[in-house]
Amino acid sequence: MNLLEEEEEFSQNSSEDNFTDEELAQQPPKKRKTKSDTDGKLKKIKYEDITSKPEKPKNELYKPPTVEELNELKETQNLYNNNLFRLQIEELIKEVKIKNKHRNAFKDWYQSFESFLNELPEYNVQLSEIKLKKKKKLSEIDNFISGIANEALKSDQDFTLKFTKPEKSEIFGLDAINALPGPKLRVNINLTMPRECFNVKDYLNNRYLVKRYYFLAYIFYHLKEKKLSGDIDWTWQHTKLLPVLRIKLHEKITIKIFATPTDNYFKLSRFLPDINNVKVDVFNVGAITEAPTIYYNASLAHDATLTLNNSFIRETLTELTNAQEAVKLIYVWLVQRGLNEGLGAFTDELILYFIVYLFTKKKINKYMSSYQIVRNFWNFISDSDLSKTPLSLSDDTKPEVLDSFKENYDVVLLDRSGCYNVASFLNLQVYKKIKSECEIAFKLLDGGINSFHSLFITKLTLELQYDLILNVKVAKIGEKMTDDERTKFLGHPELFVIKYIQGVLEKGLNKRATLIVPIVTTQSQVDKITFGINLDQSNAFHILEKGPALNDPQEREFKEFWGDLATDRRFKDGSVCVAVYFETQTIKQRREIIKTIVDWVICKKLGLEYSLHYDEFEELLVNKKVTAPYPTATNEDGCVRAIAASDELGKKLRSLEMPLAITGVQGITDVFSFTDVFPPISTNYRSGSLVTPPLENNIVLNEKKRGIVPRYVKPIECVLQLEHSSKWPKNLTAIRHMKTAFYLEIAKQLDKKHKIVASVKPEFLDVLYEGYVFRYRLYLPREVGLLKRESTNNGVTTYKDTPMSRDIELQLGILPRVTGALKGIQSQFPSFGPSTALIKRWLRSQLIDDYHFPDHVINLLNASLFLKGASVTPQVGFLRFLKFVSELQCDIQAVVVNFNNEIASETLAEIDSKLLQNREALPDLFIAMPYDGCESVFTKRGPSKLVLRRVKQLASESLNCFGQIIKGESFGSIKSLFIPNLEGYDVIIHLRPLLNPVRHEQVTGDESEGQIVLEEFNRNESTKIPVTGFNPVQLYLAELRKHYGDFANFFHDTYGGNFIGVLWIPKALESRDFKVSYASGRKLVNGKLELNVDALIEDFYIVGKGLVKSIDKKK
Amino acid sequence: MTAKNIQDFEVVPFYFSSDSTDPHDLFIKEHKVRKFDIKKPPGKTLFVLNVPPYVTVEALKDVFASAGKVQSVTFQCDDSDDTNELFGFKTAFVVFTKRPSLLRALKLERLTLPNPHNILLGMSKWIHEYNSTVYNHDKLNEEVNIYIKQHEKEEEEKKLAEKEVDDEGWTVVTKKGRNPGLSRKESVENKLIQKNKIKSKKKELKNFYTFQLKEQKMNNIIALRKSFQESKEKVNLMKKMRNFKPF
Repeated sequence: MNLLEEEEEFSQNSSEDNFTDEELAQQPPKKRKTKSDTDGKLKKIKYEDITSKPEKPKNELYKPPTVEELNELKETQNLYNNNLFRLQIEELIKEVKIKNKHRNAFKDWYQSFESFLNELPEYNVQLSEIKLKKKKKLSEIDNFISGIANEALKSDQDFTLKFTKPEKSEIFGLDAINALPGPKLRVNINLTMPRECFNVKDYLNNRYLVKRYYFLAYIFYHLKEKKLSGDIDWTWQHTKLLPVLRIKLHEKITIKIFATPTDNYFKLSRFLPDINNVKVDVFNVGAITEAPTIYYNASLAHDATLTLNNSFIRETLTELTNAQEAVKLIYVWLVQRGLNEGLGAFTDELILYFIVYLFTKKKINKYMSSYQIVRNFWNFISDSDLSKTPLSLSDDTKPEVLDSFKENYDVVLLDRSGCYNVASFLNLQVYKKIKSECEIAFKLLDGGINSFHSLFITKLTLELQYDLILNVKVAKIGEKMTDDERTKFLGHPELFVIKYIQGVLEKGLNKRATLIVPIVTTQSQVDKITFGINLDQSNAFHILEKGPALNDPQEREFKEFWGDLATDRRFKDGSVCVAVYFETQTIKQRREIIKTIVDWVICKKLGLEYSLHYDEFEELLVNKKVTAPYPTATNEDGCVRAIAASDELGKKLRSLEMPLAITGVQGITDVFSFTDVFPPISTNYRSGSLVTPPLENNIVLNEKKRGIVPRYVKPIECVLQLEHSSKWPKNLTAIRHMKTAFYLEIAKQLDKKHKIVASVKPEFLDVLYEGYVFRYRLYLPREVGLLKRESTNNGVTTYKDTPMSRDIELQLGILPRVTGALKGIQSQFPSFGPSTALIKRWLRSQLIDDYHFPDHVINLLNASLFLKGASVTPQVGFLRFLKFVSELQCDIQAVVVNFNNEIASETLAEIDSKLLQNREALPDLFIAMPYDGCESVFTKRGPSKLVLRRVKQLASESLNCFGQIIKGESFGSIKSLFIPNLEGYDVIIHLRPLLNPVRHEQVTGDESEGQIVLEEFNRNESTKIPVTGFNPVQLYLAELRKHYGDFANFFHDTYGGNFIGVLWIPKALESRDFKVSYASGRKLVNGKLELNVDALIEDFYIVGKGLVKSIDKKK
Repeated sequence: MTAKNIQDFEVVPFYFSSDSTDPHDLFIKEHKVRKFDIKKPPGKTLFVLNVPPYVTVEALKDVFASAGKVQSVTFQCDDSDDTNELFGFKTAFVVFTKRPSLLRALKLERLTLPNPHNILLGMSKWIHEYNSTVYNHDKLNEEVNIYIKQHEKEEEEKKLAEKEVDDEGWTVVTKKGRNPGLSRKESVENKLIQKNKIKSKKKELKNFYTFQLKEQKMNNIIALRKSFQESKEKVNLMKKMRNFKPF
């Protein structure tokens, strides 16, 4: 029993990094068998101890449970997602605990603040007397007056401002109910202005707000005088009409001081949304009308109800520790998404109001765990729609009052009094964004595997959340207000500006955008608004914006909006409509439709300056040096054509009359999943007599002319499947010969029936079709079986993996299925392919090539991301990948690529525990995927830990750089993220550019130089298979790695890199005593073996004879 | 150049060509082992360490020809992998026709490839390799056919040789025929074992005795405990990686 209790205790305060064993070991032995030498110290070991050792863990597990333990285990089962989630929440809560030293510091300050309030001097000043005075010598009172004067503030009458100490001061906010996550302490203090400060009808014409301001200014002035504040300034709450004081006591402690009128001074019904409270133009905006001043009312209502609401919240939540914990979690979640700050944001108070609402409606109760509360919160927000069905915290809200709120505000949640809409200043689009985030969070919770990290720990910056980021410079929008609107938005012109631009954008983007979220974080004048726009994948890139039918009443409006872009069109169903047609030739251009629309709306319609971040990275996928015979931009266009040709040829192959019918043709190269960076281009191939002479039905290379090689032709590789037959030979060599015979037969028939050129190599079959070279291989499961076959001592046949069988199975058995699944993802999420290509382009440009980080691994990693949540544009996909990689913890987690949910959750749990128990035995990066039996076959060879670490660093750096570019803090170009740093390499091997057949794919270099224009494929001219898959650079690299891989690592940019970076392996550089096994590549220096660096460098020359231009040795 | 030596190895610099400046050090000694190998006759075999990867058998013959006539050269890979292809630095056994040549070889001060252009390297190698992958279809066809025919013939002969009952009266059980035997595969055996297990399980009563019920409950708790333990370990790991710092 004892042990278990200790264990529980331990689980509660396991903040130290101890393991149970250690803690247990420190206890004095109470029972005979339980203690042994767990702490590793040498002790006298009795025979009993040794014999009981294997039983020891069992003992712990098989102990009869205590009641508490049973409860806890059950609780975890019922109240939490799983053990891990519960423990993670506990850890997080521990991590965000606010330090006591900060609390004490605040307590001390608050004490002195209270005595300061008691000692405040009192004044009476007429409003009209408050002016800046410019005399040299000022009396104390004059000094005070000029200290607080603010001439922008106006009211309709002159009245006496009574400066007197506040009635009471009260602490409120998240921290007051113990729901604030640290490490920073933020406290709100509310000062109640006493009754004598006010007169009748102070709610009118800004009178209250003027009094409020001067009251706070009075506190401000004296706080400064008394030097009680560290760093004090003005900020605002919800709206600029409600300024508050902000004191920074310390880097980690912030205090906000509010002021509110004394309880029940104002009649709350004065602030209902259908009442006009400003009759005189006190805000200097021009003509105003009798229309209700809803935002002005809301500001006043906020103050008038603050005390009431605070005490209500406190009453409800003080006892609920789990709810407090939940608020902490929600707050952390919001902060990671940056949704709690800025104009119209989802503020901390709103979380509290929602939680309190759920509590009063019995949707949560005190028995629920924090996990369940958070879950309910997310579920509630994503399911309810406060813009359609307003809610109220008050017990007796009349439906007509609710209706009038609903009419006037976008989102309605009434407070305890039923007269103040706590969501008055919440922007509708921000609310929608929150709703969609809640939905995502809710799905993540139920999505199994560890979602904790992505919910609470990952920081999502703007560029990761939105597909398009639009910065608009605001000017002159205010002029577009009508008088009524001016009254409605009195004191809040910026709200109108945001709403107006948002409205026009919404109209322009229509169904293309799901969210257009304004992000305004600046405290001062709103002159720049950032919009985060999320696109709708299925509608965003439609080439047609269909308007109303001709002669429809809305026709004029549509035409007016779209101007010259609108045309009358007849549709297939016979209707004639006004429509905007966007002409596009490539897929990239289709994505650019969004840019066209934004430009039209912001620049042409509104006449504003703007900048946007949307598709800058896509430029890197465009090969500017090669012009294909058809329109191409990013990689998709090429892939579509290649796949079409492959399908056609596949059909022809299947219809051939072969001894065994061809039943399936499956692609295995990246082209098929659209993840190829530079897909092959269909073109004409002619043999030239000089460099490329003909041989048989192939074009080959001239062995004498070794100065230049033809452009690289990438074969499109496919696997052929035959119908089943039991007549295949039982001998490997025989099977292979049969395969060759098959290829020969196919080639013969293709030539005879379709006049298609083919060339047979013993291993595969190359076919030239429509300007592409297809490479086919036969997959015979029997061949793999034969390779695996072994017989044991007693004559039983077993099948064991051999390197060869694994290779064949991977290439021809598993890869086609993976490629098929990836193609499925591509057709579901069109930006999968290009974003993967972008990732490859980026990674390769950092000189990390397929050898270090295989292409297939990249495909799978990105697929895992898309399966979790799709990105609409390639750019966002790319950025999310960078984020993902920079936070990847492959030591403790497997990456799950659960195609069609084929892996059972039990298998996943198994993998998890396998990783935990035996990390070293598994690949450094473990990818769980259904088609290889969850063995992570693709990562067996790489990437290694070192490469992963490097990629991680690179990813987070690149992300940072891009973040700075977006914020306008850095003027670096996007391209610079794709240029590697050559510092740090020991040796750099420069290659002859003319012998690099992919040199035109380089990131750098002059765009106009070395342009290649490709001809269209012509069947009659292309009669021979071109030089296919011949890349001397890759051959050289392979040879270097094969021969010198023990001494050095080689780095190269696959896409056109003209140099190879070499790093000596530190271990190989060590000098050691002579040993036969250590002699390779080394020389004898003073009786010790040292790496013969100079000779190795000469070897690099020798092995790359003809290709190597020069070698730089760095010190 | 003074001759160096270490442990009974002579150290000889090896130059790729006459104008190369940075030599590799070859470590050579007479090959002496107790086991007799006809390919490495004692007294005539030179043991060479650290032969650069690009040096071929012929090239090495040429190199040591300066000491005397070389009968044969065999390479051995560093780590005795079962892959056929040799890569990396190699170990070689150079067999001279006469012993004096061996002794002369041990005294050499430098070794140079006499005609480095004979080794196909770099571009010329790759181009040659590419071009040699092109086959004439007819010739290939013929080759394949010949092999297959021969193979078929062999198979048939084998079949004929296999009689159902051999001279001593043993019958060979095959998968075919009236009384097919089970194939002796691991998978088949495993299947049988599984089948038996299921059979015996079916017979078993699971919740008949009270102790069984108790045990079941206990097992449940144990499973829960185990998963709790595992999660705890994982969280500890995460904590070490500072995984819980949200801001």
